[in-house]
Amino acid sequence: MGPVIRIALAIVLALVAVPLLIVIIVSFSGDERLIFPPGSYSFNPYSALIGNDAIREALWRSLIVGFQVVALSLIVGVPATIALVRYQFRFRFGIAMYLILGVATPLIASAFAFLVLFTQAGVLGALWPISVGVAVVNLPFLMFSVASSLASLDPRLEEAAATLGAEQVQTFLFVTLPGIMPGILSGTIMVFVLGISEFVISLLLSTVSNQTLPIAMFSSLRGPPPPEVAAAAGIYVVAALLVVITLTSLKSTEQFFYRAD
Amino acid sequence: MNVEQGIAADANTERPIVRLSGVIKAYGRMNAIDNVDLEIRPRELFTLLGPSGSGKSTILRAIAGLISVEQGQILIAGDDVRDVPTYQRNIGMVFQSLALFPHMSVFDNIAFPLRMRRIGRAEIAKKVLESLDVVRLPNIAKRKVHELSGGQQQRVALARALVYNPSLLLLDEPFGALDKRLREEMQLEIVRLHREIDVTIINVTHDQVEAMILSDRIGVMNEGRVVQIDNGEDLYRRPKTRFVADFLGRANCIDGVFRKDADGTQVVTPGGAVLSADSKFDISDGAGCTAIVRAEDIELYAARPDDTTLTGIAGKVALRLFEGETVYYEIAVDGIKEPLRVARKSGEFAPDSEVWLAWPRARVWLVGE
Amino acid sequence: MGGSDVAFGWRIIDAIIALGKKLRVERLARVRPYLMVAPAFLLVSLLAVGIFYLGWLSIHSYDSFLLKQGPISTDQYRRLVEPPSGEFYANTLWRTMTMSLAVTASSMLLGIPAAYFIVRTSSRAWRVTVLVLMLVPFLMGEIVRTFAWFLILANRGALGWFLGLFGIQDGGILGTPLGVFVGMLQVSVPLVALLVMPAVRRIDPNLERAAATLGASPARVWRHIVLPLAWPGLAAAVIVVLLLNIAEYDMPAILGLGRLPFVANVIGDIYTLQQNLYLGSAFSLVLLIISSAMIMLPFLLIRLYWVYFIARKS
Repeated sequence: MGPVIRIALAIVLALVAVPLLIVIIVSFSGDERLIFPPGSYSFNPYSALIGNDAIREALWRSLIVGFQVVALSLIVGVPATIALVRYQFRFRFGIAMYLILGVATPLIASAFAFLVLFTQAGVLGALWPISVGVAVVNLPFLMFSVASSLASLDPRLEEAAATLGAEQVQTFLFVTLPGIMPGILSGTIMVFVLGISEFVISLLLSTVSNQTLPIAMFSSLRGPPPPEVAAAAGIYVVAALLVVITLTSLKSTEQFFYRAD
Repeated sequence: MNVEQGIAADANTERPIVRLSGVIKAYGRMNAIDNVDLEIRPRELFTLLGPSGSGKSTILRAIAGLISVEQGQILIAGDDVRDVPTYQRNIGMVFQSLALFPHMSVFDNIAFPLRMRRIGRAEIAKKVLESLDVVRLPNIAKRKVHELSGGQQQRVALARALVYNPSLLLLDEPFGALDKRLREEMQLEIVRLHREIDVTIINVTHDQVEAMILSDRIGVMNEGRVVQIDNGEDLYRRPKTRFVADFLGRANCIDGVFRKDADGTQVVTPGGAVLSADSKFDISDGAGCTAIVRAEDIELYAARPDDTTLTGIAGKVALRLFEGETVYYEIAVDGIKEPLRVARKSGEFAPDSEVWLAWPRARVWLVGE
Repeated sequence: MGGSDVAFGWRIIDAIIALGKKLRVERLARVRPYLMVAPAFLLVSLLAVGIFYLGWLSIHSYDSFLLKQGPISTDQYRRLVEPPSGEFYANTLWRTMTMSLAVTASSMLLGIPAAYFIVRTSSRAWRVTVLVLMLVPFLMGEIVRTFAWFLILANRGALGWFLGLFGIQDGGILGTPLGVFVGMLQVSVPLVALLVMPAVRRIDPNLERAAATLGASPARVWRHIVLPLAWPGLAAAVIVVLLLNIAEYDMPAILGLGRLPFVANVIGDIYTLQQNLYLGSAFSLVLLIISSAMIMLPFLLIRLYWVYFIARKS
C-alpha cells in the first residue's frame, strides 16, 4: 500500500473517528456549559437526560417510531422482496425501481411531500405519519438486505424440499424463511437505527406535542447545548457502534468486503 | 428396508415405471427436449448420458415436475403427471449441489420428508437411523451439515431421498463436483444400493465411464434427442451413429466408400487404402460410410503382419504419450484427415517411425451416413 | 398418515394448507407476485401521491394574508426566479450546488484510497476497524453528526483546544463554508468508500501485480488499471453522493450558523417560518427535478455516446 493511500486513510480515519470520540467524551462532562476538554467528568448529562421530561418523552417517541417503522417495513418489504427476486413477471423491473423511489428522491422533497399529504389528511401531530414517511424512505435498505440474503440462497434447496414432499407453505416456512433470516435481521436492525435517528421527515411532520428525540436535540442547539443533549448523542453513537459491530461480524458481510485469493 | 409398492419383482414383464411420449420442452426458439420417447423399466438403473446442453438434466427435471413441458406426455407408474405438482409425485432426487438444508442437522434433514408426511416421532427416529445405516453412516445424526466431509454429505443426501421409500430415484449429476477417488467410491455405492433396495434409478451424467459402470441401460442424448438406448456393452461395440461412437471411449472414425465383395465387405478410404470388415452391415454398395475402430483394438507392427483376420493401414507415429495404464499414440495416415488414435498397454515405437496399424476385422463397426 | 405421535404444530400447518386449498390459492399463482408487491407498492404510492400534491400546490398562488389558496398561476415559480426574492433563491441554489460539488470531489479523493485499502488489505483487524468506523456515521443520525462537529468547531471546542496546543488561535471556523464543508465530509467520504468497494473488489488483484511486474509504478497502476476498471462504480458513487449532499439539512443549518442556508434549509424555513406550503412545494419540486436530471444524466450520456460514436461508424 503506497504512502498516498496511507495518508488518505489516516485523514479519513481522523475525519470519521474523532467526532465519535469527542461526543462520547463530552457526554461524560461535568460542566454546565459543554466545552472541550471537559473541566470535570461525571454522569451528570445522563442523569439530566433521564430527569428531563421533555427529552425523555422524546426518546420514548423515537423508540416507538423505530418499532413502527420496523413493523411496517417488514410487513410490506419481505413479501415484496421475495416476489421481486424469485418470480418472473411483467413490470418486475419497473416495480423494483418504483419501490426504490424513497431513496432516489432528495430527503427534503420527500419530507415536504409527506407534509402536504398529511396536512391535507389532517393527521399532523400524530406519531404514525412520521413512521410511515420514514418507512417509505428506508424501505430500500431492508429490501436490499433481504434480497442479498435471498439471492445467495441455493434455489435447489426449495426444489429439493418440493421433491421431498413439501408444498409451498411448508417450503417457505422451513427452507426459505430460515435461509433469509440473516438478511431480515440485519435489515431490521439497520432500519430500526435509521428510524430512531431520523431527522428531516420528523422535523417537517412534528408539532410541539410529538417531537422525536433528534428534533428535541435540534431545538436545544439554537443556543449553547445543555448536557442532556450530549448524553443523548452519546447514546446514539454507542447504539450505532454496537449495531455496526454486530453487522460486520456476520459472516455474510465479510465476503462482501474482502476478496481473498 | 421394506417396500410396499405396486411394482412386481420381475423387472421385465410389466409396464414401464416412467414413460415419456413425444415430449417437447422449448426455451425460446430452441428445443431443450426435442420430441423424446423414453421408457424406463421398473427396478432398472438407467443412465441418461450426453454432453452439456443435450437435454438430459431437463428430462430429469421434467420427470420430477420442476419444469413443465409444452407437448407430450409423461407417465409415472402409469399415471399422467401433467397436473401433479412435484411434492405429490413421491420421487427421490439428489442434486449436484446436494441441496442439504444448511440450517438443519443431519437428523432433521433426513427426517424432513417424513415430517412432511406427518409420520409419528418414534417412527421417524427409527426410519432415520435405518436409512443412515443403509448408506453406512451410523453415527452422525446429530451433526450439522457443514461439519461433514463431501462424501458424507453425498450419503446423507441419498439417505434423505430414500428414507420414504420412493419408487423412483433421480440423480442429477450428483458426483460431478467430487474428486476422482470419491466419485468412484460413490458410483460403487449406488450400484450396491440398487442391489439392496427395490428402487428404480435414473442417473444423469456426462461421464461415460460412470454411465458404463452404473447402468443396466444407457440412453445417449444429443441436442435434445435420444440417439440410442442400449446397455453399455452394446452401445460401445455397436454404436448407431458416429456421435455415439465418439462419445464413448476413444474411437477412430474413418470415412470412406462401402464396397461389397466376395470375402465380405470393404471400406475404401479417400487415400485409396482398403479396410476389410465382416459382412453383416446393411449399407448399399457405393454409399458413403464410416468405419469405427476402437483405439484399444489397434495393434502396432513394424511391418504388415501375415494374418487374414486382421485388416489395417500404414502410418507414421506423430505423438506418443505415456499415460500410466496405457501408452497413447497418434498416427498420421495418408488420405485420412485426423490422426488415428491407438492405446496400447505398452509400446516402444518412437515418434516419426513408420508403423503398420492392424486390427481384427471383427472389431470394425460400420455406420452409414 | 399422521397419528397421535405427531407434534402439535403440524396440525396448525395442516389447517393453513387446507385453508389455502379451499380458497383455491393455487389458482392465484399467476397473480401471486403482484399480490406480494402490492402492500409495498401502496406504501410507496403515498410518496408518489405526495409528490403529485407538491406539483399541484406549486402551480397555485397563495394569499398569505388571508391564508387562502388562490387560482392556478405561476406565482410560486416566479417568486423563485424573479427579483428580488429570486436572487436569494438562486444564490441558495448556487451555494448548494457548488459546495456539494466540492464536498463530492474531495470525498472521492479521500474515499477511493480508503475503499482500496479495505478491499486489498490482508489484515482482518484493520479491515474490520476501518469498516466499523466508517459505517457508524451513517447510523448515528444527522443531528448527532452535526452535534459532534459543533463540539469540535465551536468556541472552546475540540479544534480550538487542539490548535491551542500549538499556540494557534482558533479563527472561528463555525459559520464559514469551511466548517460546513468539513462536517459534510464525515458522511460523504464513507459513503464513497462503501459505494466504490464493490467496484474495486471486482478487479482481479493479479492484474495489478502483473502490471507491477511489467514495470508500472503505483501511480501508473492506478491510472491504467484500477481507475479504468472501477470507473462505473466511481461514476455511480459520484452521483449518489452528490444527490445526498444537495439535500443536506443539518450541517448548513448548525455549522453554518444560519448564514449559509442550503436549499433544504430554505424549504424548511418556508414552512416553519412562513407556513407557505405552496412556495415550499415549488422549491421542493425544483430540487426534485434537478436530482432526477442528475440520475438520468449518465443514461443519457451513454445513449448519446452510443448513438454518436458507435452507430455512426456502421
